[in-house]
Amino acid sequence: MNIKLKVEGIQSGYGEIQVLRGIEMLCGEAQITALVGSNGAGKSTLLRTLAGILPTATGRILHGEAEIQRLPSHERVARGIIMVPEGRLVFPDLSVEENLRTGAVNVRAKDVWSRTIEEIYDLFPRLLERQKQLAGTLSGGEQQMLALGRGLMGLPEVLLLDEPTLGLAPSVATQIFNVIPRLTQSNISILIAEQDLNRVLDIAHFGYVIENGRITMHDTGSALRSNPAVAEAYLG
Amino acid sequence: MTSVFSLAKMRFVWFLFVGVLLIAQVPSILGSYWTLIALNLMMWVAMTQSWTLFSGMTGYISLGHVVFYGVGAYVVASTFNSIPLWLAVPMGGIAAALLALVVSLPVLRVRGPYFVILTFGLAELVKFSILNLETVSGNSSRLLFGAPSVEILLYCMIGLVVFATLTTLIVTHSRFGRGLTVIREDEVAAATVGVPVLRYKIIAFTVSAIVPGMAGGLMALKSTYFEVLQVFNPIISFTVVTMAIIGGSGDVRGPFLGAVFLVLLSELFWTTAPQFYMILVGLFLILFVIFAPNGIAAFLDKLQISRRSG
Repeated sequence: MNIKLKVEGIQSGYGEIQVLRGIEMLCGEAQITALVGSNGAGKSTLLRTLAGILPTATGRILHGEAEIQRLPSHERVARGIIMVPEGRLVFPDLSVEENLRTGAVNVRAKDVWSRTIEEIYDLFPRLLERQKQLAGTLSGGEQQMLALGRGLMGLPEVLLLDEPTLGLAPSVATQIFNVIPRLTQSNISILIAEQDLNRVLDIAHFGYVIENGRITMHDTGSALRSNPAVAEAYLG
Repeated sequence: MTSVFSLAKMRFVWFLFVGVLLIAQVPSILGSYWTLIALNLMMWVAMTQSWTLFSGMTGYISLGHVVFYGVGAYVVASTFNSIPLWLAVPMGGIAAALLALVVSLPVLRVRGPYFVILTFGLAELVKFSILNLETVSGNSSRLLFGAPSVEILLYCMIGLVVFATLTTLIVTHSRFGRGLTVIREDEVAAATVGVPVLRYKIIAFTVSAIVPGMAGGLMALKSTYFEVLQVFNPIISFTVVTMAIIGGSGDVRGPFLGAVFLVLLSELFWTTAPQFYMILVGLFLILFVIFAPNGIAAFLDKLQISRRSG
């Protein structure tokens, strides 16, 4: 298995407050890697650090052979490391189509945006129906599809998904969980932080359990799924 | 490039040129009193237009725009006897832009109400620093003998208005401008799609300081004396924000509409009933924020749409 993203001893946090205390992690090519843990364990902080939204205090992030922990977020996007942030952060006063187009501003994606957008509409027909509508007027589920679609517009190599089903109706969450495995067929490597332990471990090839800013367990998705200690860690 | 020259924008550029040509006729037709008013009006348009370039587009509301105006005035006043004016006024703009560049890193780290307070505090800090500098060096205020006529200053100020307006027009429809808009919509999401957020904010903040720096220099020449507390008066910042809100800060026409509205209002009431004028300004500000948050410009658009469909 090829390694797409390698995390070595990452420490980071918000100003003086340290959240991550030395994270070690691998993400395989075209695989789904799950990151599970309770609220406040450091899932979002890790994803934001990998995306360059938060600075890396110490440690290394390797994308292939290259160290990227000092690169600003837009240069990581240009390399294909793209995060879909938690909370469906769409641009509310832009239309669905405009939101999707902003996803393709990076150098790798901008010239092929019109072809990519067709693929996104195939994946989420609902977005095509809502094409001209302002993103702020969409339902929560539609906004999540849009945020995911906008991320895909950037032609990610590594897609960082931060709690993509948080606060969604169960049927919509199912739809999202059905789409994610399909993305790996396009050779996208996925790191997904998720609260819904069982469903994410069902689709994940590999999983990491994070507690208090440290990885405490890692194994294949199915092994973690049947390990009672995981659920215990999750409940804190 | 096609969108830059869309029909509506072309029409606006025509309006702009016809408008400034008319204003350039004020000195010869209407005389010195109206020339002063035209200069004032153009100054406010230039100030507000440059403010919207950063604050309107990114949503970072600056209450410290006056600091660039004051710095520009200070450069022109302190070099008045040593450097020719054609050089000193642009130098005021460059000095203001340099100040913006230097302070941008700490200032642009914070958002929302913190940014508002910080920009206000920064302007006050620079004001009192220069005040102390002037006091220590024995200049309580400076007289500027032999400044150019108001008429010439008006032509220069018209140039600034055209420059500020064309800059806004071009930026709005550029990749850079769309990046700024997306930052206003959601900064984290902007970063995740690959917008170089910090760099864009720094560039916009720096560029938006050039015009007020030069406007400050011109206005110091108009009053023929320089007094720190006057050119760094926070009321100038407040007025710019008020004009942007009343005119509409998301639209290149906004600063014109807002400046005309307030300058006319002040002409009507300032000399006869100054207290009443301030009450009216406050009242209009509240009314616009509640009922027309996107200003007169958006209101005009709505009228046009309803006329067409009705």
